[in-house]
Amino acid sequence: MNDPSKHPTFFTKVPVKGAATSADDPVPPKTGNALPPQPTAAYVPRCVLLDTEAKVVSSILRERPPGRKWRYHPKCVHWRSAGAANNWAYGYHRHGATMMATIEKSVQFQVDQCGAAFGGFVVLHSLAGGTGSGLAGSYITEQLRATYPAATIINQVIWPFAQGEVIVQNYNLVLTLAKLTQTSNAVLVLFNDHLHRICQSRLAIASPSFADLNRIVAHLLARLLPHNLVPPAAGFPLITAYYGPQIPAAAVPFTTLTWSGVLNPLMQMARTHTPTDEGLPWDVRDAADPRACVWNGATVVLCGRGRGDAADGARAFRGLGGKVRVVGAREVESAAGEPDKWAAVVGPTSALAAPLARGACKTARAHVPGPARFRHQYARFGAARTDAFAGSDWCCC
Amino acid sequence: MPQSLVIQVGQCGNQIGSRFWEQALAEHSQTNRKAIYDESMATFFQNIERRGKRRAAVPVGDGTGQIKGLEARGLMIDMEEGVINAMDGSPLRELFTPDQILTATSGSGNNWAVGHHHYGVQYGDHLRDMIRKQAEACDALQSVFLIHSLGGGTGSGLGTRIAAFLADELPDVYRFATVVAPSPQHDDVVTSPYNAVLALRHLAEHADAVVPVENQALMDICAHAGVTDPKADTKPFGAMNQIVAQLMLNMTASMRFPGSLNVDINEITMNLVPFPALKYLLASMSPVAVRPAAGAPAASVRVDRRVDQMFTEAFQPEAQLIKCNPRTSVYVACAAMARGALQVSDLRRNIDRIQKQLQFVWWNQEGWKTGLCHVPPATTTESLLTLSNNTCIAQSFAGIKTRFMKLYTRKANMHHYTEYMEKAEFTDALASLNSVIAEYRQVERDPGPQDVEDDDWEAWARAQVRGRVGSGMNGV
Ligand SMILES: Nc1nc2c(ncn2[C@@H]2O[C@H](COP(=O)(O)OP(=O)(O)OP(=O)(O)O)[C@@H](O)[C@H]2O)c(=O)[nH]1
Ligand SMILES: Nc1nc2c(ncn2[C@@H]2O[C@H](COP(=O)(O)OP(=O)(O)OP(=O)(O)O)[C@@H](O)[C@H]2O)c(=O)[nH]1
Ligand SMILES: [Mg+2]
Ligand SMILES: [Mg+2]
Repeated sequence: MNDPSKHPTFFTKVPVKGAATSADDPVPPKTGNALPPQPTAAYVPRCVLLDTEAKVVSSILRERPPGRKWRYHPKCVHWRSAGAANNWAYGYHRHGATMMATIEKSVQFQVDQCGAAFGGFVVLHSLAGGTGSGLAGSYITEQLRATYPAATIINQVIWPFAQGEVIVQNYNLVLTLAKLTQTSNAVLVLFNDHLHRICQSRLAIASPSFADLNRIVAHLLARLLPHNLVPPAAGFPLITAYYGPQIPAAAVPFTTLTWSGVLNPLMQMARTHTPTDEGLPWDVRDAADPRACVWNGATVVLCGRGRGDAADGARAFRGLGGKVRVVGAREVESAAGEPDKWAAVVGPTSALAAPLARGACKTARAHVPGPARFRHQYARFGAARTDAFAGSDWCCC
Repeated sequence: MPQSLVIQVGQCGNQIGSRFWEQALAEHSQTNRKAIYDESMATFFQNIERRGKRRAAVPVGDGTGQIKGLEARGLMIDMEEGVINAMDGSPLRELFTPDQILTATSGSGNNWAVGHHHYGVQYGDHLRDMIRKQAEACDALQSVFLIHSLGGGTGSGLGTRIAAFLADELPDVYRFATVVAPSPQHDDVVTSPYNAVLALRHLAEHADAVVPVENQALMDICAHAGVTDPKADTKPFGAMNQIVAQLMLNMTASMRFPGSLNVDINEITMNLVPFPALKYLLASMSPVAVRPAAGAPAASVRVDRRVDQMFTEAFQPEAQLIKCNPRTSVYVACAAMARGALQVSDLRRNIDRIQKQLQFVWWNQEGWKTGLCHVPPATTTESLLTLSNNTCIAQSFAGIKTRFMKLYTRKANMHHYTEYMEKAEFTDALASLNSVIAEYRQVERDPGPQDVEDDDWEAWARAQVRGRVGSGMNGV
């Protein structure tokens, strides 16, 4: 999205001190909110950046890709130096109140910029660390819900790799999801394992980096967010998404796509919880198959030419279960170098049960029977086992 | 960015500390060629401008200011003068002002009780002042690293006293102790088992995490790399200390430099210490660069091969900084912290591979914490540090205990200690060590719940959630 003027959903134009649009203006300061002078009108994304440590946001602020015609509002970037130690309790109890006080004005500013068109918030965070889970997913989301009761809140959450990342990730994710079921309208779960697999097996990236994974997430979000993603049933806001086609950019000019070629595998991916169209279990034919995922309604998002044919193909998604809506991607057209047909399906599915069960059951296992492992780490920041984990009984422990 | 203090105590602590500061400067000057005082530099250093007698700390500000003069965030403490005086005239000595140094003249004579009780009391208030002063010079002090040996008198005795002062003065600041444990063979200090056991009890109480290293392991690594001391009967302390210094730099790299998967120092304790008593972290590194280019595979080897080799080596018994074999014991948790141009998929590939070769405790089967820091160490293109909480540490502790008992049952040298402390301190310290050994052994032997299969848990939980989606559907 290099041209912000075409995307009013995501950008606003405001006078910003020190905001400039060219790539050659001075590098912004690395700490605090000190600003160079001279207000100029500039496009800023409708967003607030937040972390409990400095390294990530300050390197984001220093990014100046050529051709970008917008920049972050310097007053909407906030950080601390302590970090949250991969500890939900540290993020929630220690950073929550003070950080909220800091970002309140930025949030209000962005809401004001939206005027009557304000619809709600999208909170982007991971589930495994301490900041995304405890601060953003739990505390901030709770406060936004309290302050803006009518707003739609969507949390886009990154599910950790199953293996080898953050040891206490299951604690953090269970604590966060327990909160989110109370506060969020839709929790869009994207799995790092899936993103990694898409990169390696479909996008021909031998050694995917987080930047590669994030490109997929960003692309997907830009196309999904303009639509209503809130699932119909209250009490289970978790949704996930599958998309296709997945083609390396270099191969796009040599690929001819048909809507059935895009939609048939997508349907099967959704039915069998498979992130790519590689190795799909085609023998799972209908919802009656015990291996098939149960869906409670879905939204099919189509983007590209020949949507009439597409809508025909999309009807097959009714087989997933629940009410199925088919919508076109209004905001984004396929850019040069992107496939001319693209589709995604998003909604609440029982596929989320397995990883959730894994997370929850790992946590449960660590608690019963025997002593509460890692308890002293959470207790250090004010989360006694009972109060912190009490809300998580909905998922099993 | 948060800051850290380094407190080096006794001969061993100060000798390792010297290497640490030397290598820290080398590492930062390599990435920071314009000599800017930035956040990363501010972790371990203050920027001081001097005009005549006036001394002023220059803050990081917008991160573009020049380095005026660097001062270490740390303290040098020894109860004799020799080691610290030997640094006079060296550039390192410039990093410390007189109020960061405390020396006495007679040493602790390899007697823990002298360091802990005699000097601990005599210099207690003074040390607390020194600590407070260093803490006040930080705007976000997060951790303190103590470096000392366990075998002598000053490091083990006064060093552990300082750990208690830190807990008292700076309760929210994480306390890491990098300690050199005496080797079972040819250790030069007769009373080292006493000193080690007495010191370990206080570390158990006051440290958030302890990274013990053994001189025997360091010597073997050096010998393997072809580094020996010219005087054949002495230890090559220079190279050995370089390894320990490198360990500390690798441990803190991710907090000082950018990376795609940062590991802050407080994440180490969070992920690796599931119970307060199980806080001993076994370290290993690959490649071990004890002299330029030693141990580093040729740059011509493909990066992914180099990376895979690095992971394989770091999990070999020979790479561990304690003489032990973690592969035949149980992992409670393991951190793999990489530096250099690695990607998340390099971690995935290697952890999937290595996980199969290791045995993890039943309740932490996927007990991995990983990190990626983009800035490599000064001497190699990439490196891997592993920190594992492994039950094999109980064997090392049991070895120390056996040697302790040999002296203790004969009451050897005991009167030198009881001159400064109650005899009961021996029994208390022994009880503390016994309980650490017992806790690790219990974890090692714990077979896990026999009644519930892993699959049962999952099936049960899945049914719960399926029920949720299903019942939601009834509503539409
Ligand atoms: N897709 C994707 N996942 C990421 C990225 N960075 C971190 N993760 C994942 O996020 C989890 C770690 O959480 P972080 O977001 O780094 O933690 P945090 O919210 O900053 O919390 P603390 O660092 O503990 O204060 C792991 O599951 C990582 O795989 C990224 O850029 N992209
Ligand atoms: N790795 C390493 N070990 C050392 C070094 N210096 C001493 N040691 C070991 O440390 C133990 C002796 O402790 P020292 O640090 O010399 O003693 P101290 O803390 O100065 O205490 P006193 O001399 O008794 O006042 C022995 O086990 C030595 O092998 C060193 O530079 N490097
Ligand atoms: Mg973080
Ligand atoms: Mg000495």
